[in-house]
Amino acid sequence: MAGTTALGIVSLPLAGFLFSGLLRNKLPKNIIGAVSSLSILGSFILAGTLLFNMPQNESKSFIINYFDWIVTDNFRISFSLQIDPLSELMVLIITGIGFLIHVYSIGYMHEDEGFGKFFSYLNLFVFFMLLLVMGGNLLVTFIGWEGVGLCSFLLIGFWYKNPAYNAAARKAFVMNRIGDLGLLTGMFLILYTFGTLNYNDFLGKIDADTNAILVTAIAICLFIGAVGKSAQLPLYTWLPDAMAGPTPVSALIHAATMVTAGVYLCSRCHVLFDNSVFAQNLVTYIGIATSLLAGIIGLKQSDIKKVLAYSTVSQLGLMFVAVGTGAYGVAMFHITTHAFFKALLFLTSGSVIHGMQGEQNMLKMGGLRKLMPVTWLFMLIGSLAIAGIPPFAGFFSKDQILAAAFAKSPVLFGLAFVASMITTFYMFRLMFLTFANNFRGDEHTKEHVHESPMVMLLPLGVLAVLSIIGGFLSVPEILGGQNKFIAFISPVVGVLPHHEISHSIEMMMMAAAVGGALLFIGLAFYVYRVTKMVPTDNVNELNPISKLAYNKFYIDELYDAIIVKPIKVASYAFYEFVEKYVIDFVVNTVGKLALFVGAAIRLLQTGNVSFYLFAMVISIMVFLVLQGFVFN
Amino acid sequence: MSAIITLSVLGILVLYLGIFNFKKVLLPVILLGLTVAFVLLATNTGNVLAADMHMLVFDAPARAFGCLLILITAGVFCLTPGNMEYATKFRQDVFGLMIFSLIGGIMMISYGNLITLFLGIETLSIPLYVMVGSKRSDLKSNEAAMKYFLLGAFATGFLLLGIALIYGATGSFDFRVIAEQCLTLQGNVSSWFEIGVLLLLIGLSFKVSAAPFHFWAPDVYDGAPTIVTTYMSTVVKIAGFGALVRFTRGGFPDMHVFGQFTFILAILTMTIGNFVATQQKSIKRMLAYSSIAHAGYMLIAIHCSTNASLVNIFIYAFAYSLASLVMFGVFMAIADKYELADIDSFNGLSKKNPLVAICAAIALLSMAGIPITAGFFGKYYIFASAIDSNYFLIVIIAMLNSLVSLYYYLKLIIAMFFKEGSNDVSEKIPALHYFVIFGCTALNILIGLYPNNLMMLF
Repeated sequence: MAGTTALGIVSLPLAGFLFSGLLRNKLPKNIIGAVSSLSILGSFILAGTLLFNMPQNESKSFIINYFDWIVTDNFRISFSLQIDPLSELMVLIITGIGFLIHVYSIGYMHEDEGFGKFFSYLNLFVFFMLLLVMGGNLLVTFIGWEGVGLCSFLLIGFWYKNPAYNAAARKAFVMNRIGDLGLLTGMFLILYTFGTLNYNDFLGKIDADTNAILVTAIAICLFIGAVGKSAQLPLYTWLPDAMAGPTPVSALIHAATMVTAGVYLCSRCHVLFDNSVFAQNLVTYIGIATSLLAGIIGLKQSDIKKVLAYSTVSQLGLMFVAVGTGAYGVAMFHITTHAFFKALLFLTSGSVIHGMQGEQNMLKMGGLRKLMPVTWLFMLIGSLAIAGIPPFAGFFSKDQILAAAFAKSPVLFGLAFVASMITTFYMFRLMFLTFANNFRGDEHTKEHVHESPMVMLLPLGVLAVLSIIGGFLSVPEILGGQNKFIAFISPVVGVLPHHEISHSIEMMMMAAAVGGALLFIGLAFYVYRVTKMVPTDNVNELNPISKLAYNKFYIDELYDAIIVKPIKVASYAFYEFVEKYVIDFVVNTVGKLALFVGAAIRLLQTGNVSFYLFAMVISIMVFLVLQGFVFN
Repeated sequence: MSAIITLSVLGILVLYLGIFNFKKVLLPVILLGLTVAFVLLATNTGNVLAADMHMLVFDAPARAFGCLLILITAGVFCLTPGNMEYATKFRQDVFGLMIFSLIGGIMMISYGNLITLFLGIETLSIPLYVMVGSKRSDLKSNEAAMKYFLLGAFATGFLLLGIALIYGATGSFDFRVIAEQCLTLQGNVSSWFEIGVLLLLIGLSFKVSAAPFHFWAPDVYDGAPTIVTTYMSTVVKIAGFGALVRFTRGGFPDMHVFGQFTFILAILTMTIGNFVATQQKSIKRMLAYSSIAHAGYMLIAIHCSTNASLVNIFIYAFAYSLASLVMFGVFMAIADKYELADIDSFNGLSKKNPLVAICAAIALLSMAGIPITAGFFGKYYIFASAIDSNYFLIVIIAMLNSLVSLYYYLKLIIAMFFKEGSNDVSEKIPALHYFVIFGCTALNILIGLYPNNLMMLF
């Protein structure tokens, strides 16, 4: 029963992909959009029914083997799906938010000629994403992992006529490949060490006695994969560029679902990290460094989607901090709330862009509150949620991350605190620049600014409600809650490490976080609303530090100089010298030699019978001599 | 045994039908007869003559090889409509001779006694001499028949001498007795015996056109009417290898008297076949050299004599014959008919007849050993079992050789798909021809997908 349901969840989006992909030019747009959305809704409903039939065994998981896929003497890999609280949670997020974004896209993409193609890619993405989270072994996950990478590539470069967008798509693909290589290496190591890729099997074999270096190596390999997919240092640069894709794509793939796959993978394989202090520390430091760096860059961006992109990178960094401190449940909780409010923020920014005729530069916006009141309200809810103002969703999850960080070290807590304050500031900078004061664009644009249609606002409403109440899924004990969410998935990701923090300290932390957030909102209000300051686009007027942040710390340029350029030079050199003079020469000579030998032997074929007989008799004699005197 | 009797009756019947001018029913009668013989052979579980005399033994390998021979012969017959007219006027004679020759082939793969082996070889060969020269007005055909006969007579001489020496050393023609003697003597066999075995192998190598006893093959394949060439490069080759592997596996299960001989033979055959094939402009000659090269790969299985050799050779021969039937069929239909022989005659086939071009391409890829064709598994099984018994050198040479072979197979594919055709002859291909081309291609892919099913025959 569960097997059929699981298969149904996975195959509905695939069917939707085939339907909209094959009939995209034959059917009207509305039908394509409706069928695609309904296929995701179907998966969501199936996943919902599963929620009431969760496995009751000790590990709370079903593994369904559909067929044997790769069978050799040493190992056997089957095509299997896994239902447990963790995958169930991810499935609900993917299909739930996926459905809302599909609906939103019907309005957003309505004028686009690639409408059918867009929906088929989107459905395909959901299919692969579901495979990723439901895979019962690493190989099935890996198919999904590569598949979502492909869909991400296709959708970033969706408007393929723009060369810059294609470059962004390619960059995303290449950066992800680096991570994928890490994941693949990890898979080979696991297969080599444990002889299986089934999560439950190899994770069950790891304990304190397992070779520590091997465990660390595997954990780091998997983390490299996660770094690529979840856009962490040093591979994060693709995510801001990925904003080239249509905004619903940014919301679904590059905020709510795909980029959290790395966090998911680490949580799924948490036993590896639990048994390697080094890997845990690495994850923590990379996470916090990414969070701070991306936050600082986000402070100085003027493209509305770029700000959100850096904010996503920053939030993902915080999730990895939670992973690194062993609070996997908290990381998954933050994934959930982040999916709600970040999808909301992206979609509202899409609504703004839609209203502004495609304009993304915040410096040319301003005063949109009166023109787009509903969008403003929704975006405000999203911003309050991400800033961690109670009772919005972000408050509960972020607070638990901060608590986990504090338990590890006060310094870590301090850094995470700074990162979250930065988040608050740039989010409200974005709010005020976009919605407050007077309109700064030209008159022509202003006339056309309009509130988005109902089909776009409805999904926004649902997400706004979720952003408000989502946090109550897991109210911490200190506030009288029962942490239900974390209790739900703890059979898979393990219980939270026990904190030696007194309630008073925890209360103080909470107050500091909320107070700080309010303070920074006030600061943003003063700078951008009261003094009506508009950041400049002219680089020369910036002070050196701002300039550094504005130019994203020149990381792209750095990569270009130390990696891309040398490779280009080397490949040119290889082409000009090694290829042309060495390889070509060898290959051609071998070929010529073969033909020459053929031509030479051919001359023996004289057509003369007496020669043939002669050759035959001579050969026989030679063989007899060899047989008689040499071989014996 | 009943299959052989059926075929004998069929051969005589065909000759009579020819005399009384029932040419229309010739082909149906032959195909019916072959079907009956096929069924009789496939269901033959008892050994009529073997029980006491051990002359012919229809064990599982013999049945498999025999059925393959009949199947491929039927394929050759299906290629005759539209081709016999220009090839030779004496249709019924050639038909009859081909059936008699097939009887010889079946004896060669089911012998239990050196006498029946010799009888089989001669029954196979003598009709062939006539068939090769059946295009009487053509000088090349006559020359080919003469050459084949002269060289064949020499080879038979050596073969007979070999049998005589073996008899002298062991006192018997019976295979069981010879094998027993080998076991009891354990390496202390007289050198007469070794020489006898070597000469017998040389005689058989001649039949399968292994280098350096291959000189006749290109000239004879080229000169003979193409339908006879088809028959020779498929049925005769299967029968020859059937006899060889039966000899090496049946008589001397664990003796390597002939170890170095087959090693040299295999390498020479592959190399000469492949390298010279690169130089050929005539399709028929190219296929002749390619058929020599394939004999080389099969000789690897003879050299690495293991239990799997039988089935490996069977699969290889099956794959190779299917591909050959397709290639000769296409060649006859689009080129040979118009007295064209060059590779250029295949130019632009993909535009004129895409389906046939695809079938031909699959056949060529199968010969080159590209998956998912049967040819891939043919090579794979032979190479894999050679590696299992630690014959690395020969496998490396074979792989390099198959690399070279790609050169001339691809030349044909390029001609078909990427070159503009010049001749505007509208080819009318008979239905039976299509049947063979498509049927063989389908079977080829089927074996490529489910190679294990063939193993169950053994």
